[in-house]
Amino acid sequence: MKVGNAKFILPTLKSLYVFLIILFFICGIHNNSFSQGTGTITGTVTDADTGLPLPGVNVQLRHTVLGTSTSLEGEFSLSRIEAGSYSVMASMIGYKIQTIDNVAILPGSPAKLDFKLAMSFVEADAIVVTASRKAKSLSETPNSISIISAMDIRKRNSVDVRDALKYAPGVTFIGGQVNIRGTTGFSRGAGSRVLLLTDGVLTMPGDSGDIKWDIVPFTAVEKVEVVKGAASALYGSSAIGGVINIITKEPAEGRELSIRSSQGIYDPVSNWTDRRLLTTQGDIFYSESINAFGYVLAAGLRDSRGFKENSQFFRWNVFGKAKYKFTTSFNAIFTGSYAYDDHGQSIQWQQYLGQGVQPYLAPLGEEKNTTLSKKLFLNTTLNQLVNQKLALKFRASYFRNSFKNDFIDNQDFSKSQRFRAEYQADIEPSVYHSLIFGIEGTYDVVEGNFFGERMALMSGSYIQDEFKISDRLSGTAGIRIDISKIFSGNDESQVSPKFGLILDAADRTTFRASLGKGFRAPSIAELFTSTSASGFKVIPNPDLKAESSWSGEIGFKTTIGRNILWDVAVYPERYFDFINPSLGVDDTLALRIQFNNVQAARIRGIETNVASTWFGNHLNAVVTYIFVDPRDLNTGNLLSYRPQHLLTTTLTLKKGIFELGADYRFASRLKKEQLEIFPDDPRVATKILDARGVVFRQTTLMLNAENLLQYKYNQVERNLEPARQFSISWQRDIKR
Amino acid sequence: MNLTKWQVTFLVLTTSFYIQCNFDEGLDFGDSRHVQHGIKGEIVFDGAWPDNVAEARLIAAANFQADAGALEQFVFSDPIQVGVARLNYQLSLNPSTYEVIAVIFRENGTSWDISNLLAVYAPASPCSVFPDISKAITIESENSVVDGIDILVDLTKSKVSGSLNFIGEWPSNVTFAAVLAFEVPLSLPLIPCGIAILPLNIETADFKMLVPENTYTITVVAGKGLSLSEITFIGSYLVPGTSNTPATVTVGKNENIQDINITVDLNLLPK
Repeated sequence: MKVGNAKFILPTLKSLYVFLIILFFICGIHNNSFSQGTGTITGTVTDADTGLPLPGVNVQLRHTVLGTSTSLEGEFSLSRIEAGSYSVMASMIGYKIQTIDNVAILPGSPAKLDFKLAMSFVEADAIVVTASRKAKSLSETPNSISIISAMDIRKRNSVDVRDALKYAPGVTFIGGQVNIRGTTGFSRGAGSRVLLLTDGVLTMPGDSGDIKWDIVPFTAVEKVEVVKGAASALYGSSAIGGVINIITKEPAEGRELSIRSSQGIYDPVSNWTDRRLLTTQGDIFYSESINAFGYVLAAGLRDSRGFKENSQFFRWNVFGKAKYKFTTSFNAIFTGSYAYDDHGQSIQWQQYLGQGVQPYLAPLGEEKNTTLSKKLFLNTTLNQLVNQKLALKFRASYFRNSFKNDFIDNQDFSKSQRFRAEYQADIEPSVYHSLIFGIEGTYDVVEGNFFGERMALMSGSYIQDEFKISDRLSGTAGIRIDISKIFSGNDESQVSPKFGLILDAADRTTFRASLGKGFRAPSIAELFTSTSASGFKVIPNPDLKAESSWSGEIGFKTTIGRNILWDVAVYPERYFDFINPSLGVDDTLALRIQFNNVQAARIRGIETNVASTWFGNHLNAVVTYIFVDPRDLNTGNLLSYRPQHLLTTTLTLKKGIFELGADYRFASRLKKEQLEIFPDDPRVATKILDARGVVFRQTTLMLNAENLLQYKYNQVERNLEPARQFSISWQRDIKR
Repeated sequence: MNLTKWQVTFLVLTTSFYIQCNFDEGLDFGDSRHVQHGIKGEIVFDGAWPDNVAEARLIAAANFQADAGALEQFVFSDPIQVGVARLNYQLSLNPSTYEVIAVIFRENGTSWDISNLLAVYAPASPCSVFPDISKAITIESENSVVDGIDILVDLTKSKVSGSLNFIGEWPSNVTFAAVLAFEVPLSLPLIPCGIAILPLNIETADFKMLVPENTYTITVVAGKGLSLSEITFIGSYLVPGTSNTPATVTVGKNENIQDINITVDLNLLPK
């Protein structure tokens, strides 16, 4: 089928979206089904130590879909609650979660609650939204989840959220690609085994299927949730290794302005250039609410000369989010993000036969290879609270990705458009069950000489029940069915079940176990890439099948005393039809690279994570260690680009307005068999120390040193990782 | 706050990082040209580098099978810097016996192609590109580096190209087919100065080869192996308009000779 048919399908889908949106509006505005005979809860949330109000605290009415967050004055209000007895929970990152039980609701008699949250660096529980596609406490999910706060991102000299994510427990990066628990490897920019969401919405392009980090609105990030292990039972394709959900800030109560600027300089060992290798960053954030309408605007600029030849980049992005509350039970959120990126591209460092390695130089002729890319992401979310037992959500999104190479030997280009719609229902039928159900559809159109003219359709539907078996034991069961049709490729269907158990064994100790199936449909890049790189043809393979996995986990979490949180997880995974590039010859005897389903693999690992706080919260430490045994079952060899030992350590020392921090990352040396292209190249472990000093005043001042010990290393062959960089940043926040 | 605790904490942390990180600078690039096992020698380039060369590499193959998967068997070196006149090299090769060690190039915008062999180590004559199996190189062990693997590369070679049309059925016992260029007048032993290895079981094919300045007869051979004793002559470039008069092709330096079209009769092969 030719792309010409897209012109027929596209208007049909657009009409469907418009119809659903109108239907949703009509239902939402006229819905008053639960306004009779109900009561309200009002209250405040304050810091237990200082007594100051806490804005932005999540307040949830347990076993219902009702929830809200506190205002700038720390106040909240929950209305239209049916008469009865409830538990109310307040949570915020950095504070101990607090639940007030047996809150009686009587019609016409508002209940008043005052929460006093105590600061806690080690908190076993928190509200997350990614594990279940709705707000749930960590103790109610069988998944391992890491959370990165806006403050974690802010304190580091972050070009994008990766700079903070690389210190999230269980998260590492290989050649710039995210790797969860050391299982997901390196895919050379074609496809991703980790799914990226923004506010729960898929944010990945339809052509390459990889993660475009520059589309993430840096200063508008409220927190990042990382779900580890296969999550295809809820999220479908690509969630085979885990899910990263970027939660953006809600419009502020009142007005909020933040301005941030950063200046950095690389300090390479080599004197390959006389120029100062500067990096300049600027960000601005503004948020305001006027009655029922609130909005967020953010923009950022990044200009770097890079630390090696042709690693320079110039990027900017803008982000906007608008929320309008039509009624107390119906609101609409519109989100838009645009990113522009012009960067140098050197596939490998300079290394000629008979000459020394020049790790800071690009091969001759490739010094001016650049890629220009532009991304646009739009999303509309409609939230309707039908009653306190049922909430509906409709989302429609659009992602456009385009890039153009300006290389010495190619001028390849591609443009992809992804249209997506989903409908979700949250149902809380009783205190024993919490159901979620949804359907979604995705339509991709790709054009350009890199992948050709392609179309793909995918649809999925899922249902999950989180149920209570006893006071201490609860479970999760879910299933998702996906059907994909790739024109000129294979049609496939996948069934992804999931099971989980959580045992609240003792005070502050929980055990969890889960088993789920994951899958990843091949990206259009893996199916249809047709190009040439360094004399090797990359040729299409339209017969490529989806790769899949069974992923299990057994873990426990406990709090030791008041200052140590210990989490351990053992995770066996079995992969089928792994997609990997392989080398061969074509009909003309020319060497070619093609993606194939080549491997059956087994990955076994253990992750242990200890967070502790000492001296009255003045000294905090987080240590995460992961051992992975990733095996190709056909050869017995270790799977490529997966270090077996991973260690991350974060230390933070606070005293008054001052904070000193150090982050250390270790990844063991890859074995020779784990390098795909140059197995004889020298290999070293990754040993990186970053350090920072922060002064918190009206204007926050940050001094950062990355790769402080000037360690020279690479994670992918012949690609040197960044040299030492010093930077100074400031951020001014004004709230009114 | 207990000051002693702070001091102890700092001491422990500082010492830990110091022990972990000190004295390890990571990758050492100073010794990158030396190999533990493989070959070393000198490559000399005779003539000026053509403008259309994208890159050149040294390649080596152990247990070479001159069949359809020819290039897949080679170990590729790092790129040779285009424009150099000579270089001393070391190439890491695992212990084995290497029948073919050669220099290959590719043109801008094209893929690697076995027809673009510029020179072969230890050829039987100065013009030969036919691997000389009797002069194979053996890497004995993980600590063995064979010295003196010197290669002279003639950059003035001309490109000869054309098309082939096969008549008849491919016998199942044929594992090798190629177009060869021999100097005329022919002299024994027959040593090809140009070679284009062909895919098997095809009806038509294009070919190209590189040959030094001289006059040649272009022939097609097929058989069971790389040795001349294992192959059969099954076609020749003929004088246009004739049915059996072999033509000669005279090439100068850096020329591009096209339209060498040959009809090949597969029925001449032994069944």
